[in-house]
Amino acid sequence: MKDMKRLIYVPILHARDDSRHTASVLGGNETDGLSNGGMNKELTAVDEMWEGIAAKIGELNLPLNRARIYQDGLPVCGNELEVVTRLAESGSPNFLFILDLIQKRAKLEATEDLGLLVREYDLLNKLLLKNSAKDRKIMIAEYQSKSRELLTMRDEFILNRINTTLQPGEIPVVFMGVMHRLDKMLEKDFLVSYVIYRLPFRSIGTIYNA
Amino acid sequence: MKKKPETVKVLLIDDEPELLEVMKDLLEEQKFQMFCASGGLNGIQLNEQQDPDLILLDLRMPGMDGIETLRSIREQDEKVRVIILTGYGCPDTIRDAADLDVSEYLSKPFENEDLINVIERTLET
Repeated sequence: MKDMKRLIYVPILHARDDSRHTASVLGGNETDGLSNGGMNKELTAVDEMWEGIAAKIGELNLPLNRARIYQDGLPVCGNELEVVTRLAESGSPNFLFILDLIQKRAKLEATEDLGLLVREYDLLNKLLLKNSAKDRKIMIAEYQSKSRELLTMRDEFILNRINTTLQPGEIPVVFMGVMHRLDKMLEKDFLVSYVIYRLPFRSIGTIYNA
Repeated sequence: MKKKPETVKVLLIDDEPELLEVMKDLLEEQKFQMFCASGGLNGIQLNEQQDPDLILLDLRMPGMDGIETLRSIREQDEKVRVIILTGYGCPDTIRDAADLDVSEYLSKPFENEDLINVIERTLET
């Protein structure tokens, strides 16, 4: 029987703020937001989700010096640590947690092709700039269809990143948006353990989760 | 405006009688109006009869599983808020749940406080 390597897979919901700030770090425009009340509820839900994920990962007692982190949306650009640090400084609980793991000796790996990621942000921005409800419905359908194609390409790229960067004896820890289907690709070569605490769909929405 | 718990109807669908009992007691202490179903078909019927504000749904049940149950419920009822409770979560069920417009997806085991917090948040959205 093939010796299966262990992989920790954490399905996540991206916060609107993470999408905005990542776009900004990549040199794009920040997308618009919610009312203050809606934004506060979303931020609380995001914080609670990450507190739960951190607790669950803590319970695993992973040897972090042998963990390699693969974070959704982090482009191969040569400045990965700087991107993570800037996003953590902007208050993202996702990137604060990643930075904490890095400070505890986990290694960071970029996952995404910058070109594909920029295409994804362009699609999302186009959707968010549309104002009328009718246009928005059409745009959401168009976005979802195009985004699905892009997501498959992104998943293939991420899979290749994992396969080519993981070193013998290391444990990959993958933080991936819930709409990715990377888990299906990984299950062929890895023994995948899922870490799931709580996913507040309605508070955060799924539109930012490609 | 935030609804008072005594005006909120909660339907709990889970095949484990002990868990059903414990969660019913817990939520009745919080003054919610509780209705319990021990399986998917029973849950669908109770949803039609009682028109709850919120459904707490176990995913893994013999016969009709949680996703099938929710699919049937959504054919009749687009508005009811749903919280998925599962001890066997995986991305496939998460994606299915997202497509069926669930409010929250919560992994078992959870603390009582977590469940109450998630219910309160869900009722606010």
